[in-house]
Amino acid sequence: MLVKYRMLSTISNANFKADIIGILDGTITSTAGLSAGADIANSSFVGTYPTSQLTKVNAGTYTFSKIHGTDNTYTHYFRLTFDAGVGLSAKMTTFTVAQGYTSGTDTLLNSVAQTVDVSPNTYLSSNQFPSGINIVLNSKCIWFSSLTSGKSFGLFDLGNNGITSTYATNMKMAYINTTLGTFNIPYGYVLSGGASGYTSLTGNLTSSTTPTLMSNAAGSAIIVENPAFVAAQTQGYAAYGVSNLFKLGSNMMAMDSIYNTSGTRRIVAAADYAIVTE
Amino acid sequence: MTPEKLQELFGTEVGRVYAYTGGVPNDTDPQVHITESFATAAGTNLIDCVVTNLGSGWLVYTRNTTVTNDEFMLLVELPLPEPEIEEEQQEQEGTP
Repeated sequence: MLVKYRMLSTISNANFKADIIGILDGTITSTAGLSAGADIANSSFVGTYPTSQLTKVNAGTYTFSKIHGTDNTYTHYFRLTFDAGVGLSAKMTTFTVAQGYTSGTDTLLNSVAQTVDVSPNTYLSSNQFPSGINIVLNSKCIWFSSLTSGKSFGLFDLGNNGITSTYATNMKMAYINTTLGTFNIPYGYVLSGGASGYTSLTGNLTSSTTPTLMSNAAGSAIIVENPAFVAAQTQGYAAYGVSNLFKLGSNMMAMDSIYNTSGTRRIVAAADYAIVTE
Repeated sequence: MTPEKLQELFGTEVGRVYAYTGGVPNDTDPQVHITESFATAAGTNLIDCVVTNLGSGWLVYTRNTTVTNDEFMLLVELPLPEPEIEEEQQEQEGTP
């Protein structure tokens, strides 16, 4: 599901929060559900909300659970915080990813908070890149981008490797900053002799090689997509494939560009990565 | 565990590592108990922390939360300052 969320200059802090949370919890699935602060004429919803994967587990603290898209034995959590900024100065301040959650006390277990600082912005069709906040929601990832805030980030499913086979509490999702090309796995098993154990892992995204733009027999441009990986030195560079994230050629497309592969939309992030929207 | 070892394990992002010095009641998950104690000490449940057992004791790693509480002893603030000895050596080497 790809939501192109566009806003008016009159948006309030409450409008902004209500729209973001409503899109995430599935209560807003068309422009008709957006607040009075949204630019409904220029917003759009394409695709289906991932009902079986995403659940709002606490409305007061904006806490959500996400079930892994291909291995439903793994559920991890994320929480949003907002500041009290007025109007266009409102801000989604942090995106916290957690390995676990205790519902009784609404406590995230093994969590790392990421500062995101995404604010609403006015849609202007005359801008070179008329934009707002783009949100991707599907069974394998949740992703936000805001060109005016200079941010793009999300929570992505990870594949298996030797670490996840042996140390099953190792998370199978990662926070990925697709603007900087970095990742954080809040709870992963580090291998360090007698000091081995679960810690927070960070590093840079990697790819097998950088693809190039090619053309086929019909003369059509073919956008080559390579898989993206995360790996940490403290895990002996055990690599995880990242679901729904692809490496593109260098500087091939501008941020927020959208293209189709076999009918499925991809949206482009800042650091030459594309996110599958369905 | 030395500060250098903690940085090797937790990385060089801004953060703090505390040692948990309190007890854990029987039949209680230590991670849940320590996390909730940390939230209580911070005065909010909008915390971030990773509770882990590395080596001999329970450690709490946090990026954004600060606590001052007897049960949580600050071991290190990350990242560690860059060693200054190398810079001094470079300056000496560059001096005729």
